[in-house]
Amino acid sequence: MTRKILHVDMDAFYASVEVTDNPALVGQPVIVGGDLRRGVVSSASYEARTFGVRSAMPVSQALRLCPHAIVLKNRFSRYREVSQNIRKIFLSYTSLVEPLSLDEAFLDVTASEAVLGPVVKIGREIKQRIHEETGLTCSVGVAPNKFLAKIASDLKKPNGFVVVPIDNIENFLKDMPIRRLWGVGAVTEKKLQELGIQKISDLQHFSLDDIVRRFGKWGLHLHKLAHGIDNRPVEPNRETKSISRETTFLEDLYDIVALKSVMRELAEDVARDLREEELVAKTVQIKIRFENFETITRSRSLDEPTNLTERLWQVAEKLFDERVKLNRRGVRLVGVGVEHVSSVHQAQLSLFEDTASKKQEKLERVVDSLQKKLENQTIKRGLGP
Amino acid sequence: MEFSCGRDEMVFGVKVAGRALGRATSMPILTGIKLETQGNQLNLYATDLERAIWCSVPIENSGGDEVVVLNGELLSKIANTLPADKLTMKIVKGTGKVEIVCGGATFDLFMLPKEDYPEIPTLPGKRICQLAKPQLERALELTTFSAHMARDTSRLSLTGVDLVLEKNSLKMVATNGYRLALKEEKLESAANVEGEFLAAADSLRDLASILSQLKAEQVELYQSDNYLFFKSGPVVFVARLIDEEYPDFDKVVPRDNTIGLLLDRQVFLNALQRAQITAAEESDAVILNASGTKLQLSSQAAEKGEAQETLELKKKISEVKISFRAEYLIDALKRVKSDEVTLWLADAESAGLLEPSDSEDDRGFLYVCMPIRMDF
Repeated sequence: MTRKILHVDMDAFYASVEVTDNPALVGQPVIVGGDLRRGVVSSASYEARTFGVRSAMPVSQALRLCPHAIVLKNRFSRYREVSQNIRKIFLSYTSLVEPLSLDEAFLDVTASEAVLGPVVKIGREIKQRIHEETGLTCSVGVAPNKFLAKIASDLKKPNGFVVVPIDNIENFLKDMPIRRLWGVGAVTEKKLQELGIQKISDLQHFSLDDIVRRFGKWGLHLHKLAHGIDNRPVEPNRETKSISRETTFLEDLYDIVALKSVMRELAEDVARDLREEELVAKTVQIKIRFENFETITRSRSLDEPTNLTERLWQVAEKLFDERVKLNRRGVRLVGVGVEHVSSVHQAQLSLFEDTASKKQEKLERVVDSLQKKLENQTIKRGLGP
Repeated sequence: MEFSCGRDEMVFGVKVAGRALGRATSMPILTGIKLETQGNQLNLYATDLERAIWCSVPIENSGGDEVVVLNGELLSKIANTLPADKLTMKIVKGTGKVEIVCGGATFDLFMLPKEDYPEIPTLPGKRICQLAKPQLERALELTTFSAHMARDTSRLSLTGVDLVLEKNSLKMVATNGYRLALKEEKLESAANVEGEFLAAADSLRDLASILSQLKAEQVELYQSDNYLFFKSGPVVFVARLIDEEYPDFDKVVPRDNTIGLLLDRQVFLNALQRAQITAAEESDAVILNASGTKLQLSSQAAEKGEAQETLELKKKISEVKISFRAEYLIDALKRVKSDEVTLWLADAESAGLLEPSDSEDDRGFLYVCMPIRMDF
């Protein structure tokens, strides 16, 4: 049976919340960032985006592009509150809600249609209710699976509503660049382009055997996506989001020391994200993709949730040392991530105070602020495309 | 080897010793039970190297004193299904097998190589203390659940139960770092040694289940460098000691909390179990909001909904708001037997102390629980 999946993505969420909370900001270029002047942009209003301001850009750079922008500090507890209200709206339509972060979620409304009417009507109603109850706009994608729904919600941002034609899915995808496929980054894109694959239609017509020979199981996955096939279920219990960072190498890497130093940097990025969002994580995961595209993940739970780089790296390194066998294979991608994330404001407190971690936490906070200062002066750390 | 015994004796011996059978496949011999005839007594041994159990049952010995090792799982299956009759067991010379005959049934089992069987620690000469079996059973019931469930932990000490032996008392303490259970037992006869011993909580949980099957009234404790021994009637249970420093638990027991929530235990327990239904999956947080003679319990989770319930306090208090992991309070309230309990609190971020009010079974029991920090 065809599933009815919605992807709801709030438009410029943090910035929009700030604007609805303070009507004086309406029509202004608003930037929300970690810390005044020293942070990175976590959200920008569409007025600011017309000047080229983007998420993850240092605030200093954003201000050069748009000097009259209004820069505000993150207020995560407020965003969480609004996000909860939006989730309550979702839950009045289906219990199958999978939040991906504070500002986007998948909904499976297949079973709701019998009672609440066709999926398109449900989608429009949700969009309207969000606007009525929070003053915010969102973009909605309607499709038979998660992959297509997510593509659809992104097509007409902001305030979009896109329904994927179920009888013409391949046609819907055919002119899109292969970068749209989930998991295709700059490096894979290049490899695919070398095979003459530019658009999704090129991959649709490419021989499955050839793709699998070159990319292994992952090739099969890509081929399926190109035909609009994605069987991942909407998972309502994945409430806690995960944070991860990964890097694909231009050349396969064989050197363990080099691999580890990259992973250590990734762990640092992940831990810093946690600290910025005032979160802690209970599970650490690493991901390795070998030269033949075989991909493995290994994870381990911590005794106590953490957001410290040292602790995170300690576990990630141990996972790498003990549970990954390179067998002289080259590595094309490494990733470090965390799962089971919760707010530091809802932490289970400990009986025995861990003074060593307290000290480490202080130290890392100092390093965080120094690093931000450095970024501000030189902008030498590339933040990716 | 050739002897006979009642089927029930064999079932008992195999069942008790079998609790220590090795699960790991790293050493195949550990899947075996070692049987040793010694006069008119059969000793059965099993160990997984973390714990060892031996158990003696009476037999009519018609052969010499000898040792065989048989697959524990097979032996236990066979013993359990045999008719209630006399059972004979003997080595069939030259075949490497042991024959078991009971009623009309005959089994021939291969012997495992007895020379591979590890040495079982022997009982040291002098016992360190003795206490009534129900006392030890109660202390185990009220503490072992609180330890850190062993698996992939960097804090090995918390997977143990700390036994603190003083002249006239035995204290047992277990904590997972967030909650702590302490039970103190008075000794009728003074201990021979004072000291602190840290034994694995999961071994002690097995000990508790074995003790419940025994008729003996007393348990004697012995100690060597690496092991703690519990002897009760025909059974000896050996637990390997954990070689780690135990945290200073005395320091974290909050004895100065002034806000005492006096509650009917069963009412409090039932309300918590209801509130837990809508508690958030990850934190299991239930909020306690008390003032005057009212205690309001509440919980909420985005994916589930919310719950609220108001209870009557038996004594008036000023005011307090705090959040706990529901599971932690429920774990303790389920095991306590007193009709009333007092939850002593200070403020939202300090430890709470749960104290049973009256029952003899709970005397000497304390339970400490750290709250969950909330954005109230």
